[in-house]
Amino acid sequence: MLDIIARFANGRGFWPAIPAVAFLTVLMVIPLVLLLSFGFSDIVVSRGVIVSQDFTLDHLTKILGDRLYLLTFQRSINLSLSVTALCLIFGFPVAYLYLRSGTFARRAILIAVIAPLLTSGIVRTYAWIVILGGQRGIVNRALLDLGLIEAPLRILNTHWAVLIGMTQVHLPLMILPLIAVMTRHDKALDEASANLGASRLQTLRHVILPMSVPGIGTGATLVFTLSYTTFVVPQLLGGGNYLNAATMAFEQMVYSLEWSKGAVTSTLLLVTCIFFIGLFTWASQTTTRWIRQEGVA
Amino acid sequence: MSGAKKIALTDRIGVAAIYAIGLLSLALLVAPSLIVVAISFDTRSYVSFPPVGFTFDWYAKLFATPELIQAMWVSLKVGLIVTGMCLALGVPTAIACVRGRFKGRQALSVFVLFPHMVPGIVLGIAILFAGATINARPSIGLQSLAVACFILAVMIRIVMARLMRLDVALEEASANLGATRFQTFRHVVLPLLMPAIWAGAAFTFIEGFDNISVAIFTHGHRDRPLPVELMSLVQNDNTPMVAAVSAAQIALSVVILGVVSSTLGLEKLND
Amino acid sequence: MDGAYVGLAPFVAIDGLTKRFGDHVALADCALAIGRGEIVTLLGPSGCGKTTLLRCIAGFAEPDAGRIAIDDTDTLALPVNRRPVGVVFQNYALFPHLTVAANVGYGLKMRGVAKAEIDRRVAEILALVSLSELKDRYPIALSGGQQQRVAVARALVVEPKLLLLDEAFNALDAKLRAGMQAELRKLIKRLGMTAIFVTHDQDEALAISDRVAVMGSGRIAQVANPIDIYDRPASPYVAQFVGTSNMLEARASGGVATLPGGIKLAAPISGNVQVLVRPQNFEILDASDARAGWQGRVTFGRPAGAIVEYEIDAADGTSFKIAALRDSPAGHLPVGAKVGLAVRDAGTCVVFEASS
Repeated sequence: MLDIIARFANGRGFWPAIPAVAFLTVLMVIPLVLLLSFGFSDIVVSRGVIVSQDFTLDHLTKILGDRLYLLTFQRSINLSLSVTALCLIFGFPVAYLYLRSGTFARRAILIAVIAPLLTSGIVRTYAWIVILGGQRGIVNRALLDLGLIEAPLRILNTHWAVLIGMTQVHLPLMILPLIAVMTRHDKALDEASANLGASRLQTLRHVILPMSVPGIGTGATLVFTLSYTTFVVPQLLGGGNYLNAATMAFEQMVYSLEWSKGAVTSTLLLVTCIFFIGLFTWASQTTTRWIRQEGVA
Repeated sequence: MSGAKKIALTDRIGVAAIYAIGLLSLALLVAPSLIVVAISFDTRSYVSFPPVGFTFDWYAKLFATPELIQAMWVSLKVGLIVTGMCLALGVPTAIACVRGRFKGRQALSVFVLFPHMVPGIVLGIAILFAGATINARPSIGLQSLAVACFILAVMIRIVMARLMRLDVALEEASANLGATRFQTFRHVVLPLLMPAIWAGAAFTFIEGFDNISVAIFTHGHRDRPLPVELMSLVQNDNTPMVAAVSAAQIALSVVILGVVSSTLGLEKLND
Repeated sequence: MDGAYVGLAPFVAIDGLTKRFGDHVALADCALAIGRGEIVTLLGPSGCGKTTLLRCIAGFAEPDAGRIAIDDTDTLALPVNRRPVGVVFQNYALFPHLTVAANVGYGLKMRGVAKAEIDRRVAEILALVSLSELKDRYPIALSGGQQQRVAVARALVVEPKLLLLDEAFNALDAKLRAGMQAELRKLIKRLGMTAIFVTHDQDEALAISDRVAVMGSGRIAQVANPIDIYDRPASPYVAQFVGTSNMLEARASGGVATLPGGIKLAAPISGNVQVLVRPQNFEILDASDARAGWQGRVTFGRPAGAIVEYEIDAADGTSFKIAALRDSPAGHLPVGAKVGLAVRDAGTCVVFEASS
C-alpha cells in the first residue's frame, strides 16, 4: 500500500496525465467512434436527441456512389492544394526577408505575421468582403478609377474570392514554420556560402531552400488541413454557392438536418484529411532525406 | 568580366523580386485589418473605403445591441472556462510527457497531441452526436468542453517545449537542497514555466473566445457565442457596425499579442 | 594497501556499488573509503562512471547493488532531499528566477528555517565567499567565477556532511581556473568539510585533492595521493591517463628487466613487460653518444613555458615524448635533428606486465 502511494507521489509517473487522457477519451475518442458508427446507421433525431440507431449501409453506399460528393471532395482538394501553393509562393519571401533582417525589422515581421493569427478568422474574412465586394469594393473602385475596366468585376461570391481570402487567412501558418527552420540554422552557413563565391540567388537555391524543406512540410500540412476543413471562408466569400466538403457537412448538419449524411461526410473529411497529413509528412521526410543523401538540391 | 556583372545583375533583380513579394505579402497580412478598423469609424451607413468622416456611432450601436453584448459574455465565459480547463489538464500532462519515467511515455505524447490533427468541424460534429446520444444538448458547457478538447494540444505543446528546455539539474539541485517533490514544483518548476503558461493561456483563451468550427455545432441555442453571432451578422448586415465588432476583436488580439510577447517572447513562441 | 584510507571507521564508505543502464555497466563493484575532512577527486575520461558514482551518492540515480554510508548512516535508504550531501552542479544549476540571496537561502527555506535565521546564515556564508555586495543580483548578471561561488555557498549553507562537486571548474576559463581551485581548496579545508570532486582534468585533480581515485570503465583503477598516482601508477591505464607517458616494451627475467642502453630495473614478473618512462626522465644526447639506448630524429618540438616538448621517432619506429628544459643544451633542437636518448633515473620507471 505504502509502496503504491510512494510510487504515486514520486512525480515521474503516468498519473498527472490521467485527467487529460480521461478527458480526451470521453470528448474525442468516443465521439469519433460514434461518428464512425453513425455513418453505418440510420438515425432518428428528435429535438436534438438521437432516439434510435439502426445499422445500415444505405447512406454510405448512396454517398460513395453520388457524383456530387466526388465533385465536392475533388473541388475541396483542388482548392486546398492551390491555397497551399499560393501560401508557399507568398510566404517563402516573407521568411527570406525575415532571415535577412535586423532585430527591429524581424520583430515587426513577427508582429505582422502573428497578430492576424490571433484575430478571428471571421473578422479577417470580413475584411475581404470590404476589399473585393461589389461596386464599392476597394479593388473594383481602384480598377474603375484607373480606367482598366469599364464595369465592376464580379469577384466576391466566386471561386477567386474564396481562393484569395483563404490564402491570406492561412498565410501566417506557412510563414511561421519557415521562419522557424530558417533561423534554426546558423547565419554563418549563409555567409560561408557567399564566401565560397555563391551569389545570393545561388545561396537561396542551394542552401536556404533545401534546409527549409521540413518547414515547408509543416506549413503545407497546416495550410492544407485548415483550408480543406474550413467552412467559414467559403460561406462568407463564396456567397453560399461555393460548396466544399466542409461546407457540405456544415449545411447537412445545421441547415438541412441530415445527420446521417453529415456523419458520413465528416467521416470522409477526417479520413481524407489524415491521409493528406500522412502524405505531406512522408513527402517532406523523403525530400529531406534525399537532399541529405545526394547533397544537392 | 561581363559574365560576372551579368550574374550580379540577375542576382540583384532576383533578390529584389523576392523582397518585393515578401513586402507585398506583409502588406496583405496587415492592410485588411487596418481597413476594417478605419471603416468602423465611418459616418456613412454602408461599407466603403476610404471612410469619409469620423464617428463612434457604430460602437455605440454595438453596445446598444443586446444580442451582441450577450454573445460577448458567452464568448468570454467560454474563453475563461476553456483556459481554466486547459491549464488544469494540460500542465500536468506536459510534465508527465516530458519528465515521466514510465513505459508508453511516447505513446502518451502522441495520444494527447493527436486532437491537433482532427479538424474542428469533425470534432464539433462528433461531439454534437455524442451529446445527442446521452441527451446532453448544446450549451455553454458542451461548447466549452468541445473547444477545450480541440485546443488542449496547443497548451500541452507550448508547456512541453518550455519544459524540455528546463535543465533537469535545477530540479535535482532543488531536491538536493531539501525540497520535496511538491516544493520543487512550487518553487522552481512552476515559476520557470510561467511564461509558457501565460502564452498557453493567451492562446487557449483566444480560441475559446473566437472558435467557430467547433462552437457552431455545440453552442447553446440561447447562448450564441460571438463568432456565431458575427458570422450571421457578416452575412446579413452591411453597415459599418460589423466593422466595429471586428475592430473590437482586433483590439482584443492586440492585447493578447502583448501578453504573449511580454511573457514568452515572440521569437520563442515560434519554435 | 598503498593509498587506501587508513584510520578509524571511514567517514564515507562506499562498497560494492554497481549500476547498469541496460547492457551498459556504468559502475562495477566500486569501493571507496574517505576520511573526515578529506578531499577526494574522481578522475577519469567521460563515460568512465565518475558522474554516475556522484549521482548515486547524491540520490539522483539508484545503484543496482552496493552500499553507501556517510557518518555511519545508510545513505541509500534516505530520499534524495534528506541526504546530508551538498552538490555543486556542473553548470551550477542556479535558479535563474531567484536572486543570489534567495538561491543561497533556498535550502534553508525548504527546511522551514525562520526568515530571520535564513537572512543571518545567508549573510554569513555570502561574506565567507566574498559575495555580500551581489546578494540582490540575479544569476544571469554574474560572472562565471561568481556563479561558482554562489553555487558553493548554496550547497554549504545547509551544512551538509559531504560536498560533491561535478566538474566544478569546467565552465570557467583557463586563467581563472587555477586561482579558483586553490581558493576552493582552502575554503573547504578551513571548514573541515569532506568533499568529492568529479573531473576529467588531471591537473585539477592533482592540484585540489588529498587523494585521487582514477576511474575507467566503471571501475576504480587506483586510489592514491596525487604524487603516488603520477609516480607509481597501479596500471598502464592510470599511467597513460595521468600525465604524459612513454610505454616501452622490454623483457624481464630473474627479477630484472633490461632497457636498451643497459638500464636495469627491478621487475617482480618475468616475460614481456611494459616500462613507463615519463618525458622528463629522458636525457637527450648526441646521436653518437655511447650511453644512448636509442637513436632517433626530432619530428616535432613545442615550447611550453620553461620546457620544450619533443616528439622523437626512433629507428625502430617507436615514438617518444620527451621534455627538456628550455635553457638546457637540448632546449633548441630543430626538427630533423638526430639525437640519442637515454633513461636518466631507473628508480622512477615503473614496470608493468605486458598487456597482451
